[in-house]
Amino acid sequence: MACIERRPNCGSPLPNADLEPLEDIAAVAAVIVSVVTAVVAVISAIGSITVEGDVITIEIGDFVLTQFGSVAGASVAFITAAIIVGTIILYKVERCNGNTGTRECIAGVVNEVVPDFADTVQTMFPFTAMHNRADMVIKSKFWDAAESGDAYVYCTDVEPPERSIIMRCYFYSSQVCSAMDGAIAGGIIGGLVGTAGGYGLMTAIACAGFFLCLLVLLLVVAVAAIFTLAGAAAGGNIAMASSGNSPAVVDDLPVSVGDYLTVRGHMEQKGYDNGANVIWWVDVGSSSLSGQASSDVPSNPYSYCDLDEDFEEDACNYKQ
Amino acid sequence: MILIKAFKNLMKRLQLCGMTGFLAGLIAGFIIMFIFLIVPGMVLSVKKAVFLSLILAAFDIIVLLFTEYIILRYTVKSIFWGVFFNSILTCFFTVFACKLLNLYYLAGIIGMVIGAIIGILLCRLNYLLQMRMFKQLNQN
Repeated sequence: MACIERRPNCGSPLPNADLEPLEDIAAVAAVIVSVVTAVVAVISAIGSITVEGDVITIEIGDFVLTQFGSVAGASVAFITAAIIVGTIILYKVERCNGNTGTRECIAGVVNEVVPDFADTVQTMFPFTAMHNRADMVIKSKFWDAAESGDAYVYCTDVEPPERSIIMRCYFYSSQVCSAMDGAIAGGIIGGLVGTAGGYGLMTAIACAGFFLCLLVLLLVVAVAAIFTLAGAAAGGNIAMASSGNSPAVVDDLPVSVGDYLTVRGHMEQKGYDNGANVIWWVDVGSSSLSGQASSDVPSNPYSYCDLDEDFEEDACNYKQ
Repeated sequence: MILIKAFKNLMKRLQLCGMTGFLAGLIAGFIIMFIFLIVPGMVLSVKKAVFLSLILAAFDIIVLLFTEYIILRYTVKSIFWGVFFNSILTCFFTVFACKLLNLYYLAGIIGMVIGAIIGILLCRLNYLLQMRMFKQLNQN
């Protein structure tokens, strides 16, 4: 076993929460609500709103809109659906654009494989799915690359000197991006149905009083959200099923725990990974398998100390 | 896209509790704005304002728990009290701020600002309480 003196510069024990998808939702919602607020403020300033019985009328110059209650219901439903669909579009932009970072070559042993659609939530809401991922314990000569750019660094949960850096390597999955497309289409259809439902609810129940109005509006938001999410889930699942499975493969063999891998691809810092440097995505054509870790190499987790000795010749052609 | 990027940069500074408050205020303010569009000229008594705050807070709690569980994969147990206090306080202050200022049409913006402030203050309070506990443990 050939451990080195240098300790890996691992991320803090309490890493910052990965907030990226929530940031997207909050940003989309904030923009939409701000625009709507601005429109409403302008209408209030230049127009007039009158109430006669249960008919509400908005007048701006020659433009007159009556029975605003039902239109308000449809508007609230539409805005709710727009926020959800907007978020799914941002997911697609973030997860289906790649190969923008610097090219890198990394070698190590596969410590864990996380397939796409790895849990129930990702299966139910396919737009939350992530590409196939192989977590590699990397050789010590690649530590500088993993730590570059003040990135967060994942490490094995063992004491030094065996503590090793783990590099996350993503393999593009066409199924994930197809699911996003299906979710967007399904979300739009669900949103339109939800909007019609919102209009219908406000017309049917109407606003006999303040609290009834409030409860109806909350119901409209809930109905719109449910229809949009259901549409996105259905559309995503249909697209996912028709796209077919696309597992992580190198040299025509599925990547598995214990594989000695040399991966080439673009490296970039991803918010989903707490700001760690990851390979996004692995260039399967120029990556290679170099056998498997032998049974006398301790695993769970693997250590760079054994790796540096057992996997001496990798395909990176990088001399330290 | 520029506006979305600007808000995303703001969200990065808010962290989780700040963003929870921001979203709670945004949802509450959005609903308040539309209520007062549909029922304009409504005079909100203190009792009605309290009821309105509680109903909005309950709605916020459900939406935020669902969102943070599905999107961020937190367990409900780990986020419940943060979401609960954030939503209650944000909705109360948003409703009463709109009532005092009589600016119901700007409730969305008011809610976002109040929610972000309350979220940041709760983050800070949580941090101070943790530091105090840490010091007490060290002294023991």
